[in-house]
Amino acid sequence: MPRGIDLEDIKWHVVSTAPIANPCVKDAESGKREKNEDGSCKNGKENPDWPEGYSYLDRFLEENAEQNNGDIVFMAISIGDYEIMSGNMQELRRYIREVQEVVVYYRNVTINDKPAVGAKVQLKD
Amino acid sequence: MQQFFIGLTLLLGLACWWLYGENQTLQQNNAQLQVAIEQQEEAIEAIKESYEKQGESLNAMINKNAQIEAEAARYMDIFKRHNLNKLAIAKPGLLETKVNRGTKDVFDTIENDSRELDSLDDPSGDINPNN
Repeated sequence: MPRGIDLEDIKWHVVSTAPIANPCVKDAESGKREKNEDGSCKNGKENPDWPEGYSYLDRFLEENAEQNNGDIVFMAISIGDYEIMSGNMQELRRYIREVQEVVVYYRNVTINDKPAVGAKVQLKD
Repeated sequence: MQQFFIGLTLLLGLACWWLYGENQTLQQNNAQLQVAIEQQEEAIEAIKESYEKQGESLNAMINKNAQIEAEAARYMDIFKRHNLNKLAIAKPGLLETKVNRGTKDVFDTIENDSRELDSLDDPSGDINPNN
């Protein structure tokens, strides 16, 4: 049998323009996220460097630029194409497993089986 | 008269010798046919067993394939039941975790499937102990 399949993990980045939650820092004594009267955080925000409305897309682009020396470069896939690709992956898996069952079938019916051959008869005249 | 009896004796002797030879040939043929019948019966028995085993294995394979098809359809049904587009817009972080976990699971299962297939020719991993 051939060597088993060895697949490397990949990381998907799901990105949208939805803002990332940036809650207030918890108060050390009360353990609550206390706010001032004007609604601003008393102890500041957990990520103070994030501007208002900082989104998943902003963060992704920033990280991407950092990884590529200031350039932004990535390959994108839409949700619809991701679904198609997942379906293709399931189809490949289905095929591999069904072929595997065919191998199991042939193994079961051939290995250690009695030879079913007809006997040869030679009669004297 | 005496010559007649001598001739008759010779004739009967020859006939006996010929009949003895025929009898020997028939006995040998009979023995060979007996052996052939036994071999044929063994062969028929082996064919029967093989046929039954093929039938069982074929049924097992058909059932397993139906399960595999159903599992693949179940996975695909997830996309029909959930609007990933909506979820990705609203909670991309949540979807990212799920998508990465799902991809890893699929990769792992494919690796495991192939390893299972690879172990079929392993003598210690006999998948059919009845063989």
